[in-house]
Amino acid sequence: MSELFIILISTALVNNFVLVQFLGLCPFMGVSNKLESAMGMSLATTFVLTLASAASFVVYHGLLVPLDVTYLRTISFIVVIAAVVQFTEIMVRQLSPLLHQVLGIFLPLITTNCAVLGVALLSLNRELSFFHTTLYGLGAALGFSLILVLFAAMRERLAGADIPKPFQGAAIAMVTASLMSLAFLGFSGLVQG
Amino acid sequence: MSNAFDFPGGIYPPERKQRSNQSALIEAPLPRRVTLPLQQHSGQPAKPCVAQGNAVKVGSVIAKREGMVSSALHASISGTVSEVSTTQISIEGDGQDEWLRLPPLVWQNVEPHALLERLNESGIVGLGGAGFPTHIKARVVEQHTIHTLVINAAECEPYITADDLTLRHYANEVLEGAQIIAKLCGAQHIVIGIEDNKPEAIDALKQALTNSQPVPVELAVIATRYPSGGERQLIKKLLDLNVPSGGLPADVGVLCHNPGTLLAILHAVRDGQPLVSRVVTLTGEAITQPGNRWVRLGTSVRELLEQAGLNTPELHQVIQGGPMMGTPLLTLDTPVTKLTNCLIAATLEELPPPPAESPCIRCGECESVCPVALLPQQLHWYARAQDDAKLERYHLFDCIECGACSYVCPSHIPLVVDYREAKSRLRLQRIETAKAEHAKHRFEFRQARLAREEAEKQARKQARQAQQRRPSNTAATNSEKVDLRGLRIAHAAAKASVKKAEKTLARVAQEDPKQSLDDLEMQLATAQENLKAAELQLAQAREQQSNEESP
Amino acid sequence: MNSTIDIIGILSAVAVLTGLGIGFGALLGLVSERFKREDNPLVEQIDALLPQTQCGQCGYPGCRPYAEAINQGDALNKCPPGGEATIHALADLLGRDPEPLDGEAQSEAKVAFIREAECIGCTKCIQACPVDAIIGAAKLMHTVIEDECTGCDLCLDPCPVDCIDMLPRSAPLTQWQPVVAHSSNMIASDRQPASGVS
Repeated sequence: MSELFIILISTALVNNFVLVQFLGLCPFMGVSNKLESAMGMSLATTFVLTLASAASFVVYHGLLVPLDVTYLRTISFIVVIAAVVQFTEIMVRQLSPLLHQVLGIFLPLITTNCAVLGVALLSLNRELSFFHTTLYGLGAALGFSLILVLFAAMRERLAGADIPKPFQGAAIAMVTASLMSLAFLGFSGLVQG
Repeated sequence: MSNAFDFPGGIYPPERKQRSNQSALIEAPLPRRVTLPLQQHSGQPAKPCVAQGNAVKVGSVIAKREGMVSSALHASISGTVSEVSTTQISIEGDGQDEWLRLPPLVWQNVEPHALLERLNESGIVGLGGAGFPTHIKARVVEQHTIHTLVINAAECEPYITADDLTLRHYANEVLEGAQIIAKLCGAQHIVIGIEDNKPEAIDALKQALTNSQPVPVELAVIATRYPSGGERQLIKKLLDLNVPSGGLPADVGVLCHNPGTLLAILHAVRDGQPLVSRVVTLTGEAITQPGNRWVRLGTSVRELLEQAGLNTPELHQVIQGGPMMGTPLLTLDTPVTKLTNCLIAATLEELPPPPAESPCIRCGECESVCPVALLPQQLHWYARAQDDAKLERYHLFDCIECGACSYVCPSHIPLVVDYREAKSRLRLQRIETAKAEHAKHRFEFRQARLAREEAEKQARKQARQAQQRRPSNTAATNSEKVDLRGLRIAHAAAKASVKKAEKTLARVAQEDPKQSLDDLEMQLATAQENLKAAELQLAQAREQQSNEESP
Repeated sequence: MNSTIDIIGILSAVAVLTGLGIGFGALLGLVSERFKREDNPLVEQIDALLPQTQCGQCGYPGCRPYAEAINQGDALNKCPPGGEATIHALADLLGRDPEPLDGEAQSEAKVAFIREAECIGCTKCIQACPVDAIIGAAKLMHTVIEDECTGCDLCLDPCPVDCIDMLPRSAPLTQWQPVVAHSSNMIASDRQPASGVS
């Protein structure tokens, strides 16, 4: 039980994939202009991450390890992730065409989101069970969603604020992100490893 | 002290009422000429019914109501009409002050509809400052049940003492006016809300209440705080009822009236006098004889202030209304209207111009004083950023523009100006959107009509050709494949949309029988045209198919 | 040097990747067929933001075809009657970047007016008006219903005697908007030339 908790806290907060490990910055900056699109994106990424880490585990231990081609893990994980993302895109288009339009190119770009590949590969190092690997993916996704939603809310506030011209747009967003990252450093040491 | 209920926020600005409440209410000298704007009320401006050169008496109708929310206008001096323009009517007085009164009514014996008619004819509007036509307000009983009439004698804004003096002199009459309204709207209970900074008025009311009242009257003295005179704030304070956002006090069974309005109602009903004069507070350091006056509507502000000893070199600005919600006049050559409750002739030291605006420091002072419990700081940021969705979400239209937030802002930001600008922008946008919707429906109807006409033409052509029994030539020239299934689906869809339009129309008509249904009727007509076109096309296709099958 | 090529290794690698590809591809194909979606409510939302003058200045025969084109990816900045406000609203809805208007901005609202003395009753303008704002019949007087006219200019060209004027539409006093200039004026490089404050 505590193992569960530790994995979740570790991936979501202590070793947050966006602010501490600096993976997945592309959707973080690109989709965080509005809260609605950020929430949609975080749901999509959660779905992808959890499914992808589970599927990657299955492919790795079920196919690559028995056939002794573990060096193919990067490519096969990308294939798995691409398939899951395509599936997610179909589902999003079915459920909410507006979200599909709004997310636009960023939805297929989840394939290239280094956080997703990162989760799949890094979970291998820890040599966790299937359940714990899926949990690892879920925890990472929850951390990603949290950060994305918080950042989007802040950017919406910033959009209405009186910001000097040199700082407007991406500049102030970067400054905000770095301050958030500093804040998340406060979690370091909470969980070992 | 009455109930312990309260509204949030509020401020305690210096009252500055001593200047004008020390002297009795007197009549201002009769003006020699008056200028009466056609719009002295909310709603549509009145339409003139006199021409240049007509002779008028005091109380003659010079402009009639236009539309539902509108008010009539009456001559306030006797004389000759000197000018009728699109915005105002001017009368040159003959100094005789001859009256034309309507027949007096004994209100206790008269039917409610006769009272309503009298209100309609008398041009009475809310004299507290908003100017809503009183006879429309009285008709609220048609849609709501009213149990309490609130007399809003709070007069919370600094400087203004018009209601105070009115109550001191005319407490009995104001109460009688309240009884008339209570009879008209069926209220079972009258509450007078008055601030504790008016001891003489309170005594006068207590004295008047010793006379028996048909509908029981309660006197509720409340602690002085701005803006306790706001309708919703007073209702919360006196009755602990929350008027819903976007709703009216009638939604919680309350009707609220100003004492001046009630006095005018009594004069109209009992004496047959239409609204031709009102009590105006003249105050400010730049006049030597401040106080309250009965002023004929249309009197020039310059004339009035000069009669009160205007010190022109010292004068910095004249504010119509109070210092919190009033407007500075751009010129003194403007008339006193039904909405002029106070004129502040201020010197530079008395009401200095505000310092330059600084950026918002997010201190939150404004949020702690808002009487509607809004978030003025957020509204300020979103108003500047023109973020309309957020403005609606933060209830911009519930702002009563009291000015408490601007008063406390340490950065001297004119917050109310931001909100007024945002409100007018949003209102215009709503109007534009409604117009665009309407144009779209007209366009869709036109498309449907053209489609139907085209289908009818095709049907006639086919019938003609079938009659002349021209064989498979027609089938050959018509090279399109007959998509019977597609046409059947289109026909079914058209039928469904007609049903849907009919249902929507019926539902909306039932909910509010008074609103305009033109747009929905047009949508229904569009759906019907589409159905007709689909029917014709289907019939045509079936003909064609049967022709093809049996050549 | 041990240069034996591990045929089995290469084959298994190829097999694994091919297998993965075919497997997932088939799965995706099935899923995409099962979850096909025909209608498109997004077009409705886009159409609701357009001004509905049906003038055709965007290059499409009406506002709805333009809405459908925008949905397919066409540019947002083709609507002069909508102006900057519409471009920003569309950009907000779709999450795209707003672009400056492609074409001349419309200065003010206009209304068509037929000089009745010159009208010959040909009905050409009636057929051109997209919202049926002109009433009349063949050989009889034509006139514009002021409240329904959207100022789209489509009636000007068909008129053979050129008797239609586009007059500025006066906004009623109830729709007056205050002109407020606000900037905190603290950052010198942000200051804009002061526009008149009424």
